[in-house]
Amino acid sequence: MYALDMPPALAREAPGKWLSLVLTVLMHALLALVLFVGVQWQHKVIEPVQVDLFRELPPPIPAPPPPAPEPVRQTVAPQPELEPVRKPDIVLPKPPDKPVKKPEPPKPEPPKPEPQKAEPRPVAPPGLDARQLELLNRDRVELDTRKRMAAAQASSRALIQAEVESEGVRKAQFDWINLIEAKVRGNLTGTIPPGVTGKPSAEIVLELLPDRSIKEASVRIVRSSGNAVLDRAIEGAIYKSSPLPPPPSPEAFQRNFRFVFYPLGKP
Amino acid sequence: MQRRQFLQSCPALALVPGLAKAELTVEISGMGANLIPIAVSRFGGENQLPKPISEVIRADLERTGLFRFVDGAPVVDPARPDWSNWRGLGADNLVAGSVRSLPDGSAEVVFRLHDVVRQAELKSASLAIRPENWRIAAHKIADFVYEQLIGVPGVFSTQIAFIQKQGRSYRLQIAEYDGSNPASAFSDDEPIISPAWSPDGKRIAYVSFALKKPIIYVQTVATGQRYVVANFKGSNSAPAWSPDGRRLAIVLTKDGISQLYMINADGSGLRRLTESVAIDTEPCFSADGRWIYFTSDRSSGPQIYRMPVDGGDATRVTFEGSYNVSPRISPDGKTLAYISRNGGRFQLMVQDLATQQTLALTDTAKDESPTFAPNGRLILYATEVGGRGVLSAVSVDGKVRYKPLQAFGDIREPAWGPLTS
Repeated sequence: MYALDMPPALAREAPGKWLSLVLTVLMHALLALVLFVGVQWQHKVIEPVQVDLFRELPPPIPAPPPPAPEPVRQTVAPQPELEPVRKPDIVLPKPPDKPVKKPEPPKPEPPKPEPQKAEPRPVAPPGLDARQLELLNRDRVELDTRKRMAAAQASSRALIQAEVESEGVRKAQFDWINLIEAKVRGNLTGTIPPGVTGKPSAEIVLELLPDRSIKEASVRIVRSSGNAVLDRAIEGAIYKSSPLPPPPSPEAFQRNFRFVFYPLGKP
Repeated sequence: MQRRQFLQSCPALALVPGLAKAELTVEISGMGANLIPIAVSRFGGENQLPKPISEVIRADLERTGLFRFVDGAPVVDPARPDWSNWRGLGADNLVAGSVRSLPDGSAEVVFRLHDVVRQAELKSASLAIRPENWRIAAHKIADFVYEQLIGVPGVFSTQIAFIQKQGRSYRLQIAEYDGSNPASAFSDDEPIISPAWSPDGKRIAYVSFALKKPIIYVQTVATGQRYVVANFKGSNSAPAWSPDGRRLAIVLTKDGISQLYMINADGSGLRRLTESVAIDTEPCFSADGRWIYFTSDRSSGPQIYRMPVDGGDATRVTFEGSYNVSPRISPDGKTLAYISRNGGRFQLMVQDLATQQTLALTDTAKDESPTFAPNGRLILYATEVGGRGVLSAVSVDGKVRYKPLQAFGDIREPAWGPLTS
């Protein structure tokens, strides 16, 4: 009877019904999990952006050199142990160990010089792994920097030296001028002639002979005070001051002089 | 050579301005106020004169306080002195000369002023003199030297007038600038006051009480002839010459109280200048002749005022102190000399007319009658030392004070004559 009322296929109970149900539930659960995890992952992505920003701060490279020497020596020392180069796997785990040991702030910095100085790598002798090359390069860079600094120091030292010496000459000339001024002033006799008004000035140029005596033929009044008596007193003071006092140091010696007189003070 | 190498080895030195210009500049401000070193050698043949002429020249220059004297052996040839010797002795200048008697009894004095530093002759001259006038020659040589080295004319050959009282007689004396060799121009038993030189130095105006009242006279110095300029009712006093010598400002009481009047030098053309109810006296012309300075007590105490020479409003000039009298204007018109009473002392003062800055020039107590030297460098004045009137002098800046001039008796009221050519 049953056979007549229903097709046999339909009449039969659906096979694996419970299995499908379980699979469906699983699929949904999986979908839900994927969605959940996917959203979570997107949240985390925001943080790396911050990390990137942080990375860009260190680039000011001058900082690295000081910390560099320490890591280099530490890593150079272990090198003999690394001689069995065959086991890269073993080598790899080690670096993680070291970073762990040096998780201190300086650590992130050293890595950065490396990429910049990647070029010298080809020059490196063969048979060294990446890590060793980096260390070697770091040494070279450091050496180069030191050389440059030394050279710069040397040249600036020369400049400073020259500057110091010229400063010395300048000082000596300043002192010499004071000595000369005192001598000439002491030889300036007489008083201001009445009738001299305002603040006159007179200028005399002259040459010195090597023995500091005044070359009389070179004495020339290039600007008169406007009063003959005053001019003569001024010129007389110059003549009487020959020879001029010696300079404090021979380098300060100068042949050509210009004397500017302000008998009534500077205007 | 060494220096060049040094320069090349230090390029930075090229930046030093002094080296780049290859010239050092030395600035000297002000004068050292040093005395001028000078030697006055004995003149050859000066022993024929009553006194060595070089000594008088030196004394003249020394009195100015501007020179320092260097001694050395007499110069044999005044035209060719031993430069290095005098330079070595520290003399900047050298005066040398000679005196020679001429057949007619006169003498020839030759002098040379040398610039020892430049080894050059600055000035030379020859003077023919009567032997008795040897001092005049000495003063003239000192004038030459002073003018060459100081820049203004010397006053050594000028004359001064002053009143000398000896016993009961009064004398109007005319003497050399230092008071020596006085000669009496007029004497009387009655007082003589207020002598005033005419600008040309040929006449002297003064006030005589010979007729028992003050009368103003003008006397020609050379001849001694005199005439009355003002003899009005009451007192006639304080004559002052105008710079052109044509007029005199005088003080009369003919209209009551002392007032200023102007009168021609011949006594004509009297005109009243002030119309005040106070005493106006002691007139003095400004150097340019446009103003008259005078003393007036119109504002309680006596002060110095000035007014236009042809009359008009007077303005007060002195403000410091309560008693300022006897104005005199310097030849350059810039300085007023006067007497001020400071705490019971009468002192010679000067005031810069442009800035009104005043300066007390003396530390004496009874100064009176200031008179400028014609070169404007000195002020002669009367003062009292030991109860006796003496003449003294001081430089206008107060830096050089002179010993009282040599003269006998009681001396008052000096008047310094003009420059003589």
